[in-house]
Amino acid sequence: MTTLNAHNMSAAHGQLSAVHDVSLALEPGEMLFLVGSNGAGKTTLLRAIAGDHAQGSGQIVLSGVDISNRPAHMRARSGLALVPEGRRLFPAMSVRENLMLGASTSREGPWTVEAIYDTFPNLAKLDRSLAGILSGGEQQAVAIGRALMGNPVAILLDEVSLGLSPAAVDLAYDALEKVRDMGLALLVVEQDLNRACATADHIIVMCEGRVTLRSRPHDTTTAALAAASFGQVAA
Amino acid sequence: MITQAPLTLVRSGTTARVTLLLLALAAVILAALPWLSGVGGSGRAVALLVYILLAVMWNALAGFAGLVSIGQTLFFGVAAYVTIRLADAGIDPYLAILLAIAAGAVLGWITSLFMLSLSGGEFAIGMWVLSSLAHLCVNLDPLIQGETGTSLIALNAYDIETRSTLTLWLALAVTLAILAALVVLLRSSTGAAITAIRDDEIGARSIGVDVIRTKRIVFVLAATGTAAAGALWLASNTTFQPRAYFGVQWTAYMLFMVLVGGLGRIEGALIGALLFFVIETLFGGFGAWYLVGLGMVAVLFALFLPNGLWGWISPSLPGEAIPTGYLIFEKTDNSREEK
Amino acid sequence: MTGLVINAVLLAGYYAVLATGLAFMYSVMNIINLAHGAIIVLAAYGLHVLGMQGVALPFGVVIMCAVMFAFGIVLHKTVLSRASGGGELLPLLATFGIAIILDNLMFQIFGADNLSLAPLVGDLSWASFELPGNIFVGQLSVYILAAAIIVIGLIETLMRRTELGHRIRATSQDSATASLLGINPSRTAAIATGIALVTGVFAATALGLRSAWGPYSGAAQLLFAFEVVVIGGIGSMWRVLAGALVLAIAQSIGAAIHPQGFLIGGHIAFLVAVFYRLPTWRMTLTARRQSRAKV
Repeated sequence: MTTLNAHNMSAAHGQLSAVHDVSLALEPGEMLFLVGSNGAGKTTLLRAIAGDHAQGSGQIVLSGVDISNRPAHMRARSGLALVPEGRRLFPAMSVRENLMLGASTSREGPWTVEAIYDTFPNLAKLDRSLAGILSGGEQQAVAIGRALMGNPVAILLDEVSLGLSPAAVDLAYDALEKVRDMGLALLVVEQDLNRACATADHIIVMCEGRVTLRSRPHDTTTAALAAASFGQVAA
Repeated sequence: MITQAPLTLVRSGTTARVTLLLLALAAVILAALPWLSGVGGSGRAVALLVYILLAVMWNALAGFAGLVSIGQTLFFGVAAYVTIRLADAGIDPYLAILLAIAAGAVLGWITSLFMLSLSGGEFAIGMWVLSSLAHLCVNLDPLIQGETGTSLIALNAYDIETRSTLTLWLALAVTLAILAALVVLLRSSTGAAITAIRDDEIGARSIGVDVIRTKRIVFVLAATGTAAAGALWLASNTTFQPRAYFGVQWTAYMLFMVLVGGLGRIEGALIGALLFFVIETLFGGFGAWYLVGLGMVAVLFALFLPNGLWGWISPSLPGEAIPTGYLIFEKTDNSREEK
Repeated sequence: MTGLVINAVLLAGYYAVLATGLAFMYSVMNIINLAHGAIIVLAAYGLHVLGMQGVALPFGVVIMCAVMFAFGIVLHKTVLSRASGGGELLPLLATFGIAIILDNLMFQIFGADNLSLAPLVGDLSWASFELPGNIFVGQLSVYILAAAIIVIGLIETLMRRTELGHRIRATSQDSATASLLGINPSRTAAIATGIALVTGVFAATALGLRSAWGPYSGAAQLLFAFEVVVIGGIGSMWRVLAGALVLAIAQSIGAAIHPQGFLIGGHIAFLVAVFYRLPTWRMTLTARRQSRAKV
């Protein structure tokens, strides 16, 4: 069954429409990349799906269950995790405390603090460090780990590579690919088109709140993706 | 190409003109009260003016400067105390009142030097601590005899009709002066600064608004107005018992007037004061139940109608009643349309 | 002199248990509860009513803890959750309004008389421990100090080591992100409010045993509690104990100087604490310290 189905999603910032009639589907064990230039509405879409932003209209179905009317914390408890833009860790709490908070969904599953440290070996020695003093790459690892602690079936990741060194980005995607292979569905917002073509199972391009291109990586080029990001879609 | 009809910028529209007329009419009627209803009416009118001062000043502090103070009784009580002291020293009581108002302004300025670094609840209760401290110190004065209090005996130099008329006219003059000062302030560049700070303090600071100085101006004005209210209340009621001036019930009244009338606009404070005056006249005799009722109404407004009655009515009115902003008109064929 | 210090320390025990609930709501939940004093007085009346029905004080305390916990949940769901969306002003105004309602409601229901819980504990009110040097300290005051330390210790442990404590801290730091992790922010905040009010029951017990209260006593208690919180500063709950000590000592010194000096001493200590925290003063003091060190 499709892990996550979003139909006709719309969302606005006040009177400004940010997301207009967007639909997408996430299958288990797949990575769907969402690309587009700044202001395209990608973050707003992710936040709307997770319940972090008011939904204008649309339907969200997770593992066959309609969660459109549920508040954010109930969506998390249903198995939907969001790794938000800017990570939004709790800076005054330690890495372990941040991870433990991720388990607030009370869901069954394989993820424990030790499992997280196996997947992200660089975090183990930071167990007691305050999250606020970590580097960008370490924070991203904690953020992903925190989402995994909730034992979700689908993870939405906003701007994975933002502010990270290339090495850190590689580490992050290594972990994400392992997670994908375990059967989770991943929706990744990414600015790096090469990374998208290399890693994704499907790609969606958004421009000004609308979907301008849907494709598999081998059926398209970074040039076509870039063009679609600016609204120039080949006829 | 889109053509735009020429626009004109004015400061007040019809609503403002009507309001000004109504206020002028009210002022004239109040001034004529000694002939219309004698001593009793004058006394009630002074009470109304005191409520107006308290509401407008508390609103200015909380709504414009964003500073909630539960210790404005500091100025209310100290001004009354200073009036007693000056009158006791032989100064004419009405002159003493004016000097006490000046003293209130000075006290406001001194207080602002250290209190404005606080914000939120610390500022709110910090002001209350200062008020309590002033209350305690006033109680120490042998002239006051603790909570027994004393009276503004010097007023006996005037017969009762003259006294009540003079007090009323002084109250009217002071209230109009303070209101005028506030409106002028809001229409000036400081007024724009106040609006900027209210919308986004950090943003305002980043474009060069001197936040502390702006807040200080509002704080000192509020202190002056509140001090005036205290001195006038003393002139009308004659007796001074510290608890009756420093008591927290005054803060409850200010809170009620501003929340019910509407936070952030002078019109709201005026409506709140008027409403409170009516409610107090009708229900004041019910003692503690009256206060319970006031508290409940205030809380309900805070939760469900946070912009107060004025916030509820004003969107349906064209333009502002007390013009502190701008109106843009479009000129089409010599007729004016409001935008 | 020793007597003054010992009595100040014991008084600090009362102030600490009084201020704990306020400090908890302020530092953990960013809410300044101006109804704190009135709610404690309400709990005291509750204990009194139960005592009049023949309920022994320890059972009365347990019952009131349950009642006040429930009241805290209701208070949050009806008032505080709505008020916290509107910036800093609304919670202050709403809780102040509630204080006015409670004060006057209690006056109407219970009258103006001052009441005390002392009759419920009999001899304990006068019993004392003898310390070396022929110094006597009231047993009650010692128990109150002990209770303060225990309550503060329990709250600190709750916040630092339990899952609930972490969730409360997370919700108050960033409730939107906490929601994304599956934490129900409104339920967590309601529980935290309930906990804060439960600590108030112990403050009410202390208030009722060591002195008397009336319907309008809440204001004075709120003022003491707030001075303690501001003097002690924000951070660990142990700062409440420190703030309480400073306040009690300042008040005792004030009382020694002038018969009316008790309260004045406390207010001055508060103002000094405020001054000390002003950035310009801080810089002047640090600069002076550094220049002296260079000599």
